[in-house]
Amino acid sequence: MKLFGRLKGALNRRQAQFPGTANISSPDTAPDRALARLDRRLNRPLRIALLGEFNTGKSSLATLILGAAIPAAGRIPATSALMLFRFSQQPKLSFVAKGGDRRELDLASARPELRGMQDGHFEVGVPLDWLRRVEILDVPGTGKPTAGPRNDIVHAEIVRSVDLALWCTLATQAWKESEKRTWLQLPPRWRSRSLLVATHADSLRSALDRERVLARLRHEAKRCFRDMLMVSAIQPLDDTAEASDAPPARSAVVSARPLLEPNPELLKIHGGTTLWCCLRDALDATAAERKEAAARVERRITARRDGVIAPSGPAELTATILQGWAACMETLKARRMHDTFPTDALFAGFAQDLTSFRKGLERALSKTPAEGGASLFFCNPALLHALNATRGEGHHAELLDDVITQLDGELREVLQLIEQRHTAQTVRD
Amino acid sequence: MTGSDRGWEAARRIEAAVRMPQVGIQLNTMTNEVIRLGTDLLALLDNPLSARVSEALATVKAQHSRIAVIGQIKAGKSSFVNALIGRPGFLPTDVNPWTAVLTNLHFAVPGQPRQGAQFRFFDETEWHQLGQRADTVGALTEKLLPGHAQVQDVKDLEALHRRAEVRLGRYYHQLFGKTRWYSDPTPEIIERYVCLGQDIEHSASELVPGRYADITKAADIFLDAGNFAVPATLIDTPGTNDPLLVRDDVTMNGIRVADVYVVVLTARQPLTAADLSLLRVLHGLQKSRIIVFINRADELSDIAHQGDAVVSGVKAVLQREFPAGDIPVVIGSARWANAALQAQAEDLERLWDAEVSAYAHGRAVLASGEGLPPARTFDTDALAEAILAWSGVPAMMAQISSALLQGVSAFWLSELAATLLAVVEVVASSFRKEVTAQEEMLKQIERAQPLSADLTRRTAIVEQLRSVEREIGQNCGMAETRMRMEVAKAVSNLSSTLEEEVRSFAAEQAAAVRDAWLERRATRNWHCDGATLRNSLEAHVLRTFREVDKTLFLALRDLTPRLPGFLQSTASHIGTALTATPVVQANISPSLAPLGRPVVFDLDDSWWTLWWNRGQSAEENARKIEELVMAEFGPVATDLWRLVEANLQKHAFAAVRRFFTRASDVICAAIDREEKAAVMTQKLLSSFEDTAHISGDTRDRNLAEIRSRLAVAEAVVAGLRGYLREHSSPGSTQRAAP
Repeated sequence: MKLFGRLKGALNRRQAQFPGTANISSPDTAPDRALARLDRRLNRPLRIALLGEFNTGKSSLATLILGAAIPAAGRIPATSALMLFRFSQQPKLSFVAKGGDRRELDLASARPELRGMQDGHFEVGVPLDWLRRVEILDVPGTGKPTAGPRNDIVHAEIVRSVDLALWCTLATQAWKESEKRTWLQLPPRWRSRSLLVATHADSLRSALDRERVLARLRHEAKRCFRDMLMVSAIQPLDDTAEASDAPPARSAVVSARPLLEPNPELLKIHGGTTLWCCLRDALDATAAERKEAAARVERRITARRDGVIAPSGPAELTATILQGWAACMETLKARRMHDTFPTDALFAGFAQDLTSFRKGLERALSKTPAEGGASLFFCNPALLHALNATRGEGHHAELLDDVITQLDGELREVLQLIEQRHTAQTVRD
Repeated sequence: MTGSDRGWEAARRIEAAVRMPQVGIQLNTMTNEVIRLGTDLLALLDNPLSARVSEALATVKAQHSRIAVIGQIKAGKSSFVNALIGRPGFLPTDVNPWTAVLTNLHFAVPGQPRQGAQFRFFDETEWHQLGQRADTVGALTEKLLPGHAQVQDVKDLEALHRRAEVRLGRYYHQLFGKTRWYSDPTPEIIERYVCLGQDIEHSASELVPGRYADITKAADIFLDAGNFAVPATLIDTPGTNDPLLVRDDVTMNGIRVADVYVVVLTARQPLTAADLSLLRVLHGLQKSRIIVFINRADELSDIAHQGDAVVSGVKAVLQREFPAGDIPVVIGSARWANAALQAQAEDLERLWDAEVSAYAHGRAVLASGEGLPPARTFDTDALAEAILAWSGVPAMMAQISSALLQGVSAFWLSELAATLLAVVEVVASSFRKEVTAQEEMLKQIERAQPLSADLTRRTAIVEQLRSVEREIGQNCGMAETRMRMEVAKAVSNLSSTLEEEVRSFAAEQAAAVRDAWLERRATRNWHCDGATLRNSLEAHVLRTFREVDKTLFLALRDLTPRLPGFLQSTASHIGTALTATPVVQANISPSLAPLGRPVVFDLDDSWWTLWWNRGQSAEENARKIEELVMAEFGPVATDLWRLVEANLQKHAFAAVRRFFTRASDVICAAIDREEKAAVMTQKLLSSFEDTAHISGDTRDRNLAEIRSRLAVAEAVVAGLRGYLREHSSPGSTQRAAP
């Protein structure tokens, strides 16, 4: 079966033609686009989101992590707009509208302009070297009553694109039901990578109180976060219980060059060292996860390419079917890698792709007189329905694998059927 | 005066008047006044009228006010309650969510003990219903996305059962439906019943906090009057948070009938979406007596300057959300108040230096425009008083006191005063006539003619009064029938209007979905907002109430067509005493609770994204939306008009009855007086005929006695009139009908 190889070859040739500009070229097939996206995805910096209800100290935390390098105009509490801190040679500030239109803003006079720019996000360019590897997104707080339509900033595309999150909560009212609800609606893949940060720990007046709140958080939110910790910008808190602010040795994956470099101010505050260590571990683990996932997808595609038989039947029809199938799989792959959708949406999208593929298949088959009476069981609606309706935490990947294996088998049978009938007809003729 | 002294003076000025004031002093004064005037009147009356009046007085004496404290978890409700009752540490508090059970604190409530605590356990059925209650979100998502299993709540419920078993042993079921009584409750005992407690592993011992909390339905703690000038019940509630689950049944049932609602917010996150949904639910119950306390002001990093911004921010949102009601907002810190009450010199000094002085200083600057350095040249008591004053708790007590004047107790008080006034006016006028008649008689004592004429006239008046009484009796029956018909008519109009509203809203939404699809707008951004429909349903209900109110007023006027005119001729001012109090203004407002019920349209956008992603056609989606609107809001509309029907019938009939009682009391008093006077005249007449002479002394004594009784009656009239002028129709200023 040469189809996959041909497609990949075409893409490779195109990429070779325009070295390093894979994302500028206007790819015209789904696999082209998918591969370009995969490439971008693998090379773009890891993105950390600062999330939480309003007034929980997200922006202060951003400032603490980034340090003094943020340009003054960028030090705006993200009360109404998303702020993305990323690397640039010079400090700069720009506004990116929802459609992607970018507008550079004057650093000196930006402040008054910032109001009223809602549909999009601000990008703050910070000349910090490690921001080449990690970007920080400060998200406006949830839970604030709004006059207009409901506050769904956490559903913005850019928020969905982050890799892990720090959920900020007030130490004195930590992890309320409303926070839990919002968090559980966000992509489940974040849970094992993200941190729950209880801020304003100084409002709890003794080390014992802090320990008890933390114990409750560990108990109540253990399935939602990688780690829970407590920080306070007032430094240091006057007790010795937490003097051994030691980093927990959690991750075996410790990169030679840490993705994140600590800001000295962050290390000074209460809980700062713990936060830095946990964050470093989480980033390392996420990066490793990303690499593994990419490798897995590559392996699966290779395996499938080698496994599918090459039929010698009516070549045109077979090619059409396989082309459609390849497109389907590539979109799925792209969706999984790009993963800007919630997993459930990914399922729904995949199901939609399969449905349209199936329709195309039906059309193609009906054009061949010999296949007029063929009972088509491939991609049967019941399976699609199950795909659409089945939801369960953590089983997505296995479920998807099952479905793909099953579909692969079915596809092979369809192709064999076509071939058999063709042979039969030839003999009859 | 030095600058520092002035800083201290600024604190002192406020504190001087507020050192732990009593809650409800005005209401207490009002009650006492009505009871005093009523007792005075009682001395002038005979049975059966006196029995009725003394019964009414007893009812008023038995009234108590209910104050509910609600808010999100960890807002500091229990701490606030402790500060309010002046007993730091009485209700247990903790750094983690702690209050798990609705706790009623009864202060000198008539007919209840003055000390002790009673804990009621759930019965078997209630225990099993707990699970269904927790599953509101599950039920909603099931409606929106059938088959989308919500396993979380089931797990929670199992955990609850398991914990109860670990804490209470395998036979914990035997405790169901029982109550436990302690005559001397300590914080430790209370903690055992009302607090969440720690994790399972700590709960081996009998005395562990929260041992019984899971199965305790309510706690009642009985105390003496303390800081309350009127009998009162203070209700501390478990914290709410989830915007969809705030309508927690146990809490909502417990607070449904409160007179005053204290909503506790936190200064760091004043008025979150969850707080606002709680306020909306209260508003849906038509609770206009809401007071907002912004607690934990001590946690603001710059209290002096942020404090005012927080208050005005909260006020602005409240004004936007509830333009009709003027909700008072007080900022403060229950922690400061509790520290002040404990009065540990060292703590107070630290607290003043670290936190309160900056706040006092900042407020002084804002008030006078000049800077004042913080001062600390005073003794512990003065320090405690200053900190207490700045804690906002005394200000809250004042707010609660004035809110109590809008409550049910105050309403019944005014109703009673109006009835008493009607009765006493008849009595006074009758005395007045008798005095005139006797004086006349003294002049014309020689001639028997006028006396017998007087007797005839009085007999005729009594006859007429009796006929009016009969007429009122008949009219009362008629008025009830009429009200029944009017209510039925209004409700049937309302029900069809409401259903039509829901139907047209459903059609509108379906059309919107189709349009969005045709215009290729991203449907996942389309959102059905139930607020518009809820608002229009509310408007229709309120309009119906106003209409029925009008009819009721007419019906009551027709109830006694002859009485006012008739009494006008026999007794002046009687017409004014018989004005009716309309239903809506009677503080018995329509319940709009069904509007607060969560529907699938309240679910977050992510659920809806899933819904849109099911890949259905525009037509299917539109049809489904229409069905959903009908299925969700249809029952809301039905429940609304059923509630309106029940409410109107109950309250319209109650108003008719109340009015009838008042009218017949007045007639009864008039007949009583006329008959007495007739007997007197008869006596005079016969003695005149028999002996041709009665002693001048007896006559004078009679006259003097009647005069003195007249004086008492007139004093009561003046007292009641003054009272009603001052406190008339509570709440009507807020809810004046347009």
